[in-house]
Order: sequence, then structure tokens, then C-alpha cells
Amino acid sequence: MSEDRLELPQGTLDLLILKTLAVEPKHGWAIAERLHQISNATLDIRQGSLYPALHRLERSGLIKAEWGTSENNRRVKSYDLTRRGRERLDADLSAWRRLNAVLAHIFEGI
Amino acid sequence: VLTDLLHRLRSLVRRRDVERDLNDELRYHLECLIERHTQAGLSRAEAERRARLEFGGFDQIREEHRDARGTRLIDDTARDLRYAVRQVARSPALAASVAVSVGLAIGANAAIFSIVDAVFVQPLPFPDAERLVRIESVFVRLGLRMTETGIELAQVPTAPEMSAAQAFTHVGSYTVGNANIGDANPERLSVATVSPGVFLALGVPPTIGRTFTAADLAHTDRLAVISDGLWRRAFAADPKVLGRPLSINNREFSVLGVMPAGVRFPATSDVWIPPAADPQLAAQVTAPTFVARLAPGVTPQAARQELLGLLQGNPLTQQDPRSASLSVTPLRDAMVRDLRAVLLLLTASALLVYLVACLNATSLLLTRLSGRCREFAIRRAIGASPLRVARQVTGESVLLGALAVAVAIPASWMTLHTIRRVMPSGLESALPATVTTRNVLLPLGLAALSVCAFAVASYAAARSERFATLRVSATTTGGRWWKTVQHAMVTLQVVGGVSILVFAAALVRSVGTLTAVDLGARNDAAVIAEVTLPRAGYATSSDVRRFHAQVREALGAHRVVSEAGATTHLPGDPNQILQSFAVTLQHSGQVSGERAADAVRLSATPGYFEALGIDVIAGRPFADTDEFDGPRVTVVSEGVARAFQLQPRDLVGRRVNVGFGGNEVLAEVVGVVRDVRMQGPERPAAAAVYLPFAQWPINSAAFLIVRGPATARQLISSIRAAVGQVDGSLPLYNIRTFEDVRGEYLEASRFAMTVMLTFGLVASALAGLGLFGVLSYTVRLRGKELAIRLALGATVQAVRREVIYSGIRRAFIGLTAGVGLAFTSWRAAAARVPGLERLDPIDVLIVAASVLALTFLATWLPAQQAARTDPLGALRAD
Repeated sequence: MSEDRLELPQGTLDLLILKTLAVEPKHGWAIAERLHQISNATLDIRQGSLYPALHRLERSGLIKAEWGTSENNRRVKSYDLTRRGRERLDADLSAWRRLNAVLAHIFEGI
Repeated sequence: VLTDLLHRLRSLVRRRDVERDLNDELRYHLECLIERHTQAGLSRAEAERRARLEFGGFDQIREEHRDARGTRLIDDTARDLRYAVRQVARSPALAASVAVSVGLAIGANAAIFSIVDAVFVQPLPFPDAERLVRIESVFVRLGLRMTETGIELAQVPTAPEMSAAQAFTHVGSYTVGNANIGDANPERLSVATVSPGVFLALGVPPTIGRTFTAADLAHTDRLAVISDGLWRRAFAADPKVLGRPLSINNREFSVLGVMPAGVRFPATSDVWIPPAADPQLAAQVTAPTFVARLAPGVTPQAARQELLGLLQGNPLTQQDPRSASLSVTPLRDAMVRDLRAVLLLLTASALLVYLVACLNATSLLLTRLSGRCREFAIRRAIGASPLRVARQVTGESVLLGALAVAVAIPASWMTLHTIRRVMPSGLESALPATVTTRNVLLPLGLAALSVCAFAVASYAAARSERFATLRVSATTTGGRWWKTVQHAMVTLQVVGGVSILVFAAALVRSVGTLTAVDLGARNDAAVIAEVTLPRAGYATSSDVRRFHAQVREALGAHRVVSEAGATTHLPGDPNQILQSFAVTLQHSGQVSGERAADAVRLSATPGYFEALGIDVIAGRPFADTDEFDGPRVTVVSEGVARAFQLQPRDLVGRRVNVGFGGNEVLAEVVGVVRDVRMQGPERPAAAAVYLPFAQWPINSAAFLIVRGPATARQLISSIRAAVGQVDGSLPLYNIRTFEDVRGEYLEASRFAMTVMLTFGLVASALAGLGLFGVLSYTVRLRGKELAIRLALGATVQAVRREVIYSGIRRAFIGLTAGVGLAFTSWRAAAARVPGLERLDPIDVLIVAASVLALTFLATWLPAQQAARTDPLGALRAD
């Protein structure tokens, strides 16, 4: 692994998953692919750790899962945001932006 | 929260589906990754490697996923339990022995605890029952006057008089007796005569109707309040029972009320009638007892003081030196007095048995655990924490505990039923019918305690240093720790076993002593039946006389009956009340001065002495010629002769004054018989004056006694036939042999003795087995050491001696401690509980000797095993 890859801060994986699902329902592999693409492969996410996180989110009712078939006709589980998930995403995003702005302000200002 | 719960539930219930789904998902992901890498130009193998690397460990993810499911604890526990089941199934003998020994011990405890609970803890069926007291021995303070037909109180204090005492809110007087209840098929039931105050004091309203009041008694006293049980039995639970007739001793009473189920006071009474409503019952009893409700805040002692002061005003009582015998006892104490000593002993020994069983099981488990130390060492080496290992072992303990409970619950039920069956009659009403739910808590608690003991032992074993390392070979002797614990446990088991055995030996001794006592009446095979002639049909003494004469004649026609007699008082009943009076020798030329003897007065028919086996020392027994209108005769016991300072043969033919209270009634002594212990083996034999039934007919309960060359069953049917022939409406009751009469007295002690002996033997056997197990295991562990010693020239005898010595030493420590414990606890108990005799040193020695013998047996086999150690084989192994 190269040094320019970033470790994911604690707790942000859930947020990333929620954000990825905001556009449309996706299955596990698609979520991983999407994260990989968007981050330009700079984020070091162990692919497998996605699944415990997905399960945790499902258990807390933020996403719901449904079995369907993939493009290549395999049985896959696809995840979608619930209403509560969407609300949580909005809340978390705005909190994240505010925190970011404050941190940026501090870092730049000094 | 709900989705969360549903998820957890789904994960639990459909675990296999969830796992399969997860696998599918993960595999799909992995395949996609591989696909991408091969498209990027990597070889298939390289793509797979890279994919796996990026994806992370499959198992690890699955574990994390399981964590995320939130069912981790349950999953693990289930796995531990499966592991435990496998372990337990692998050594079924050990599991069975632990479950059975601990289970039986817990069961016995549960049964005995439920008895203790019912007798001492559970409230009496009366409101504020702790304020109820029983007042006894008032009558001795008032002086007794004896009449021809019984004892009469010179002045019975009435309930209203007593209630002048401020200490009580209500006072009632009662007496208990038996009466024939019903017309067609009379039942013999316990009947209480009660003053209206009894109902007020008890404070329990009837479920149907009402109880009688003082106002009722002004009109009639033919009123009866009946128990719930009798209401169901005799009236088929008729809700309109009020006013229906009830025949008591052939006189008609009308039902006034029905008491709630469970209320039977005193003891087992089924019918309550007003005082003196039945003259026959009034004749059966001597003096009333009082039950009172204390005013709030008044102690029984304060009440007694006030009562003494009140009675002081009565001129009749002032001179009575026995005033100290007036007692005011809380009702519960008065009711359980007889049971206390027995129950205390039983509870203590049951707990000791449990302790021994538990120690035994723990020691067995520990022995096996230390045999598995390699397994634990490997588990620890590959990363299991001590806690994890201990948890696995705990799983086994929990499983064994559950098995023990499974054994304990039927065992407790069976023990209780056995106890109820063998419990002395009369006491069984105090016993619970079944082990109730609240009493199941105790076995569960004990089981939990056992599990804790097992688990703590396991944890200690799993933690102990040698399990963490593979250096130690599994065949060396156990560590110091192991040895100390094992030996301590064996010693403690011996302590428990010995203590119970010492208790048991003391009971065996007291039962043996009492059984061996010569009552004075020798014919144990005599068959006895009781009969009471109702006054309605047998009003005059000539009716009573005729009945007994006819029965005797009818019995004479039966070939199996060789002797038949009747009496008013049967030897051996400690509770019977005997009238003692002064009998004086008539003055005559040879005797100077007044010769008097205190003697009890008894009445008997011809055949009585022969039927019961009371030896005639001089003269003759009663004969049919001693008729009503013939010369007055008497038979006295040797005690009377002694008091007169005469040889028995010299007394025959003399005349004595057998009249009461200054009346002179002279009767000729025709015979002298042996003294009889009328009140059982614990009381001395009393001098007695027997009067012929024909000349002194007494209308009360009579005992018909027959003997003959036949079985008890044949004799009983003869009595039934003969009485039925004379009067078909009379019920015979309490039919038994004289041996049973003697036995009844010993029932409580014999029962306690049997239970204790069983407990003691079981506990000692367990202790012996424990010792055997530990020693033979130690010998196995020491195989190499012993082999080296044998190879170096130690003799077989020396090795054997050493093993035996090491066992005996433990047992001896346990024995000494056990005897010490038994002695101190016995002394402490005997100081508080009446009825416990001193321990006999000989008994203790016998117990000690047998326990030592048992120990020797338990050490012999391991010693033999040690002596047979094959030096080469032992050294080559491992």
C-alpha cells in the first residue's frame, strides 16, 4: 500500500455508505466500487469491513436491504436508504460541513 | 429499537439463513474483485491473491459481522454449551454420579426445607396469628376433685372470667376428644368443644353461616360448626347445609357454619360444638385449655403475670405449689413443640449431606480437570484467555447443575411423600402436601451454589500457572495447590459424614434404649380395638356392663380367640391422664399403723391380664365370678404391695379401701400383678389398683384386647364380628396390635433415626468414594516417582504402606474434626431443644472405628495399584 493513501477516520465509513446510497439503491460490490472511484483510490478501505458496517446500519434502521438480481443475473442483496437514514445523512452532512468549516477556519487563521 | 430487536431475533432464530446470506454476499464481492483484477491484466492466481488481500480475512469479517449482529454472547454461550454437552457425554459415569449425588442431596434438602417452612415459617391460617397464645395448666391451680366417673374441676375458670385480664382481647376455652359422627356409617372424628370466645380469638369468619355466640347457647347447645373437609365429605359440599342435622355420638346437632379450608383448630378437629354440649365428650377430657388473642403490644410474659395476679384472688388456688406451671405460649410454639428437635436434626444433617455431595462432586471434577491440563495448555497457547477457558469449563458446571436439578425435583417430591408416609401419625397434618413453588427456590439456590463451587474450582484450575505452560508433563504429580485443595475437600467430606453418623448413632441408642424397656405387659401380638358406647343407647351402668359381658361371650365363641378382655386405660400412651389416689390397707391385727399407697385406678374385665401378657405374681386375675352383686374384689400391682411393705402373697386376701375422697369402699385383694409403665417407656411404672369392670362400669372409651393362636387379621375380624353381633351401629377404631402401640411412642424418634442413618451412610459412602478417587488418581500421577523408587530398591510393602498412611492421615484429621463438630453442635442443640440426650462415648467410638475401617478400604485398592507399579513400564510411558 502506498503512503499517499488515507486512513479513514473512525465513524466516517457509515457516513460514506449513507452518502453513496443517497442517489440510488446499490449492492455491496457497487458501494465499494463507487467509493473506490470517487476517492480516486486514495481511501484505504478494507473491502470486507463494508459488510459489518452495512449490517450495523441495517440493524439501526437507517438502511434497508432487499434481495434482487444483478446485471449478470447473480442473487445479490441491494441496500437502500430509509426515511430515517436520509434524515440522518442530512443531519450528519451538515454537522460535518460545519465542523469542516470551523476546522478550516482555525487551520487557515493561525 | 424495534428494528434492532427484530434483527437480533432473526439472527438468532434463523442463524443458518443469515450465515448463508452473508456468505453469498461476501463471495459475490470477492468474485467481482477478482474479475476486475483479471480484466486489468493479472493472472487468475495473482488476481485472487490480490483480491483476498484487499478484501481482508473471510473469517475475520464473518466474526465482525457476527459481532455487529449483537448475538455474540448467545452464540458463544451456545457454543460453550455444545462443548459442555460433548464433554459431559464423553464421561457419562462422572456426570451421572455428580447429578445423582448432588441431585439427591438437593432433593432431600428441598423436602425437609418445605416441612420446616410449613411448620415454622408459613403463617397460621389466622389473622395476626403471632398474637394468639395458648394458656395451659390453669386447672392445676384450681384443685381437682375426683369422682367415681372421672375428674371434675372444683371450679373451672370461665372464659369471661379470664377475659377480665387486660392483656387479652378475646379468650376462649376448648377441649378435644373423639366422637362418632354420622348415623348409618359413623366416622370417628376429632371433635373440639369450644366456647364462643375461641372463634373470636382465632378471628377467622366461617365461609358459610356463622359461629355460635353466647346468646345462641342460652337457647340450645346442639349446634355444630364443621370443617371444610367434613362439609365436602359428609354433605357433598352442599351450599344449603345450614340447619341440616349432624349426628354426634347418636345425638342430633344442627349445622350452624362451615369454616374455611385449612382451618383446623386445635390439631385436626373437624367439628366444633359448644362446651358440655355432649356429656360423653365432657367425660373424656379433664380440663379445658385456653386460646387467647393478646392485646396489641402485650407480650406472653406480661400476660402470664397479669393472669397469675388475677388467679391469686381465688382462694382455691392460693395454696397450690404448682402455680409455676401456668404457661402462656405463642400458639405456633405450642403447636410445633414436638417437631422442633426432630426437624432441627434433620435440617442439619440434610445440609451436611448436601455439603458432602457437593465437595465430592467438586473434587471429582477437579480430578478430571487436572487430567485435562494438556488440553487447557494447548488452548491457552493458541490464544484463549484464562477467562475463555474457564467459561468453557463453567459451561460444563452449569450443565451438571441443571442435571442435578433435574434429579432433585422428583427426588424432593418423593422424599416428601416418603416422609409423610413414615411420619408419626398426628404430626402429618402439619406437613405440606407437596413441594410448593416457593420451596423450589431452595433447590435452585443450592444448585446455583454447586455450580458456583464447580466454576470457581474450574476457574482456579484454568488460571493456575501449570495450565499456561506446556512444560509440565501431564503425568507428574499435581501441583501443591491441587493437592492441598483435594486433600482439604476429602477431609471435609469425612467431617460431614462423621457428624451425621454420630447424630444417627445417638438416635439409634435412644430408640434402642426405649425399645428395650420392659413395659410390664409382654404380649406384643395382642390385638386392640377401641370402642365408645354412646350415652344415648347406653345410659346406665348396667347397659355398659351388659355390652362388655355380651362381647366377651361372643368372642368366646371364636376359636381363634384364646383370651379376650377390656380395659379403660391402655399401657404405653404417654398422653393419657391417670387418676392417682390414696389406697389404704384395712387395719388388722398383724399390721400396726396406717399403711397407704398412691396408686392409679384402672378398670379391667376378666381376661385382660392374660390377653395383654401382664404377669400375675400372686393370687388370681379377675374371673367371671367377680360379678356385679358379688363381694367387692380388686387386683393390685406389686407397687402397692411394696408401699404397704408386704410380700405380694401376704397381700392376697387382705382388704383395702379403694373409695374416693374419704368414702370407705372395702375390696378384697384377690391377686397381685406386675407394675406396668402406663405412660410409656420414659415414665416409671406406677402402682395400680385394678377394679373389676363388672363392679365399676365406666362409660368412656374402652379398649377391647384379644389374643389367640391366629394372625392379627383373623383376630381383627373376630373382634369386628363379635361387636357387630352385639351392636351393629358401633364403630371400632384405632385397631392395632400392642406392638404398634409400643411403636407409636417411638415413631418420631425411629423416623428421625432412619432418615439420619440413611443420610449418614450416604455421606460416609460419598466421603469414602472421594478418598478413593483422590488417592487412586494421585497414585496414577505418581507412577513415575513410584517406579523410580521401586527400581532403586524400595519394597512393595513400603510403597503400599505410604499410600495407606497418606489416606488414613486425611481421614483421621477429618474424623477428629467431625467428632468435635458433632459434640459441640449436639451440646449446643441439646441446651436449647428438650428431648436430646447426651452423646454416648461408646457410640462415638463405634462410629469412629467404622469410618476408619471404611477409610482403610478406600485406601487399600489405590495402595495395591501403587504396589503393582511396573518400574520399566511406568518409566517408558510418556
